[in-house]
Amino acid sequence: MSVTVKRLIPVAIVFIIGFYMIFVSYIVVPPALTDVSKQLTSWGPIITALSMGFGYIILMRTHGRRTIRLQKGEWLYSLTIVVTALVYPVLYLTVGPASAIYKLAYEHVNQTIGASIYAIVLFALTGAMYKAFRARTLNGFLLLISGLIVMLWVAPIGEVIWAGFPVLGAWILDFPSKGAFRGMVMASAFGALAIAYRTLIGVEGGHVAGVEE
Amino acid sequence: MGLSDRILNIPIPVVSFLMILTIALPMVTPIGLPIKIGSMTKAGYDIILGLSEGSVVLMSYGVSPAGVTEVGTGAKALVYHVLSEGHKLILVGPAVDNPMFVEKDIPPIANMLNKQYGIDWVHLGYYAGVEMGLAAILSDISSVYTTDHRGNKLQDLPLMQEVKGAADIDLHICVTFSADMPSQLARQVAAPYGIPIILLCDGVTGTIATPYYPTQIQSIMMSMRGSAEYELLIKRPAEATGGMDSISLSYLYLTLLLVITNIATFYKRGEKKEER
Amino acid sequence: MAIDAYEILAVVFAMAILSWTFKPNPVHRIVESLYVGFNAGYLLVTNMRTAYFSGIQPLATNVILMIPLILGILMYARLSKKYAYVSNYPIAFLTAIGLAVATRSIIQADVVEQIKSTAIPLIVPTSGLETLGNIVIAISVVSSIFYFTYATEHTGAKGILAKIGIAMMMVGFGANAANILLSRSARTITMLGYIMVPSGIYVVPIMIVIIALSIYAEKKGYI
Repeated sequence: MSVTVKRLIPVAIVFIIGFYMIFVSYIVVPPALTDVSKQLTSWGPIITALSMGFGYIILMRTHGRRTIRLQKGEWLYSLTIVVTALVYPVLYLTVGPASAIYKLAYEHVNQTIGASIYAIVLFALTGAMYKAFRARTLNGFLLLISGLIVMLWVAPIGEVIWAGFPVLGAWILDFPSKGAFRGMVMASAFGALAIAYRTLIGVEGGHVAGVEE
Repeated sequence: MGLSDRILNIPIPVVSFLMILTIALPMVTPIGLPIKIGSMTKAGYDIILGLSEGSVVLMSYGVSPAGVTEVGTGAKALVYHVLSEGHKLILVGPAVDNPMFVEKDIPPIANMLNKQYGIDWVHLGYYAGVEMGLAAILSDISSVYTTDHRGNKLQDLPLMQEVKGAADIDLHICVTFSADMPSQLARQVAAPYGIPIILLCDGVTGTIATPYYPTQIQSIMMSMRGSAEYELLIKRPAEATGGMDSISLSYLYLTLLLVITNIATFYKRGEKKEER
Repeated sequence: MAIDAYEILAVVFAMAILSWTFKPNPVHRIVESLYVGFNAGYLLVTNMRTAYFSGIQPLATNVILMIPLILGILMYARLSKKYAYVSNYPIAFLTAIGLAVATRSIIQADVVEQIKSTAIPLIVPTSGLETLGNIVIAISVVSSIFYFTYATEHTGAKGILAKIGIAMMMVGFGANAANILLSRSARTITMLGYIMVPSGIYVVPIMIVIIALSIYAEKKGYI
């Protein structure tokens, strides 16, 4: 009973619903059956949205514990997270999302810090390119040459230096690069189909992880 | 320590700092280099021009804090072009940040072009589930949205009386940072419905999207370059166009650095062979 | 000169985040924690709002929406060790729906259309570059797919084909690296735009001092 409830029923749900939805999209069926599939598709966003609170609870629980225990070196940062995580819920319930203060909080905190965080990757990337783009082998040489040519295609100064850079850069992106990525797309499509099939028949158990039998 | 050793062992902070400097300098003193319009961007421009007046465009406004300069300006250029050509615009957002940028960017453009909310454009807001959400929207918009982002019921919006799903949509514009998005667009938009797609994305996503061009994704505008090209096409240069000078100088610096580094590498290899 | 508090705030935040590249420090960590907290709250509010307008508000006219709402709530069973298995049911639903939505078009979109786009006439009489390109793309596609085929050993002629596949992928990765750099540079322009403002002249040195002091204080164990 325990294994049935904990593992077999979820696997059966995946099997029945998954195959049903795939079946009705390939075979001509009465509209009522297609409507059921559409209804199921519309449930996905609702379940996803509702379950996003789970991460919030875990975050508050973890950082709340660190704050209460005054964990050395961590409690101040955890307290910051706990307090600031309450800002938007409080603002939403008091002034509402259309209010100026709600928008200001987003524009001057989320937007500013978020933009800066994503920007500092450039430091690591520049250093990595300086160290990695050294043509020690033929493959390394190809990596370097295509990278340089495409860089001088993207940057307007490339055309000023030589009119051939935009032509060559576009050619690299349109042909050899496209071909390689196309191969990767097709190979990953086959892989995805295999994993999907294994999940549908219950061989891949990742979605029922954490269940002790 | 010889010159080649010094070149091969420049401290990373110095390399990075110089990169930042070459990005910052043109922000203070712009150069104004000409930007050639690429065929992938021109294709998107021609698609919007080719639509019959009053066509409905579904736009996934995936602008987030990271991409304000990168794709935000290009997204605004696309919105301007769509609305100025007399088409209708429906905006959705697959990420939680997107609605804030829609409410900040679109009203000034709509007001400038005398476009009325609810008739010429509608902002439906955030949808959860990414690919599942997109599939549900195209199958039946009302299964995902009962109200728009501003709280208006869909049945009270004249534009939403005409648009129920994919059959009523003439073009899909996707602004995104997700590397999975090109394949999701091919699977959910192109393959089942054959809706033309314009993709404005970051550099990584753009390269990954090239296999789908031009049969499934008809236009790919890559990062700030694509945004700058579109700004120039609609004759409204803005931040992206200005930012290309920084890209030029920083790329020139990095190209020279990499060339010099590789010359030093070959020189060192030659030295080692001689020693043997 | 009028003081723009928001401008100063932007400089403070940008400098705090930028200081991480020099050395991780308490100021950077506080700002990072601020971001994590604000973002978590914003994510919660936006998703709950979406769930309310998509699932709860239309409940009166569409009672069947009770099912996804119950499933969404069941996800929280994961918080309990005893009843954690209950969360497998909504996960199973999401897995099934997500899989079906993704795989029902995958053959058409990622295989058939890709083959159709590759199987084009190789020779273009009017353009030598395009002819070369079409030949290269055909070789590139076949060789890179072959590289990922592990059913057979990559020796002899097959090995050469796999090596061509890797070479083509290296060309692709080089092009990708250039575009990644474009993305990151564009984001740096946004960040520099926050710092290079009139207030920056006096805020930047003050922030440098504050960050230096915080590093010193952390080293001495005061923080």
